[in-house]
Amino acid sequence: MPSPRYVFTLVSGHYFRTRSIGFIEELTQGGLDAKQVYGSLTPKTRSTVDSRFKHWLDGEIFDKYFHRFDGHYSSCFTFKWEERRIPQRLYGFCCHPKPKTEPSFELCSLMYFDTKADKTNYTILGWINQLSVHPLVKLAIGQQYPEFIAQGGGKKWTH
Amino acid sequence: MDSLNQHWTASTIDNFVFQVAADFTLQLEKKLEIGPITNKELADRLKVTAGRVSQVLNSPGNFKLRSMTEYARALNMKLAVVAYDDNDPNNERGPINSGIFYECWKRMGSPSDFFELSNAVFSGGYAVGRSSAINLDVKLDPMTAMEVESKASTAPTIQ
Repeated sequence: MPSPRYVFTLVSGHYFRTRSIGFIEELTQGGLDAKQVYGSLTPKTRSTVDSRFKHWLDGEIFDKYFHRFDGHYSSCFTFKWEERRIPQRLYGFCCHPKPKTEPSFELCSLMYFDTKADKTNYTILGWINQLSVHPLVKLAIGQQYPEFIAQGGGKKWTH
Repeated sequence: MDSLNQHWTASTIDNFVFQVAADFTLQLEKKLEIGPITNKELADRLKVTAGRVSQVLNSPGNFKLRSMTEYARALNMKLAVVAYDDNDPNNERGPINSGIFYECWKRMGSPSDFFELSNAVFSGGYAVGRSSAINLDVKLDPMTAMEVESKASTAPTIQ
């Protein structure tokens, strides 16, 4: 099986002051579908998700739109919206990609899309936890934020 | 950001309107979360179904000024339409979140007219703002209060 190839891209159309949002893709086998799903949203839904992104980038706190998780999954993050009353989720993880020059700067790297059933999908959160410390994922983010790899992947995300 | 990566609200007026309306619905949602008015009560006051309220809050793009006013008044709130110049003529950074204006207004002691605003400014901003804020049960962030006091003490005299 070929080695995974991870690519990181910042989400376009947003302004990043103290936070940024991007997507991690895996080019060999696919599977990380957040960017593909985001790119195929209808214009109306895309506006909803973009407005959620902007609210997080602005520093808003509102769990109904987005939130992190507790305990073992504390670096995991999700953006939320509804489509025909079905809960939709983009999952990823947060980190501090500029630990030297701007330690408080936060990045949310989105990876997976899922429609929420009754409970949170902890399987996805487990995968995200693993990928968040994967050297090749860090390398991909480091292409955009060189400090992230220079400092060993940044310190653990804190609010 | 260059024109190839302009802010998503710069591409169409509809997108800009959507973000402004999304900021507004976020304020409504926060008010509903605090209570005591529930979604059902809001629907009753507006003489629509709870489903319709949910639909509008989830998809704010079609909000008109009249319906925004109806929703705000039904929650015992008011709204203001603010035009501002943030030195971003090409809208590369997107609109300023309306919550920022609201928070600034509260931190100045919620002035009702230009006389109260002027009093707050001439007496160092925070001093008057703090007493009014206490009356209005507004909690001020101590760090912000210190910054305001510091800036007020070093601010040039207004002629």
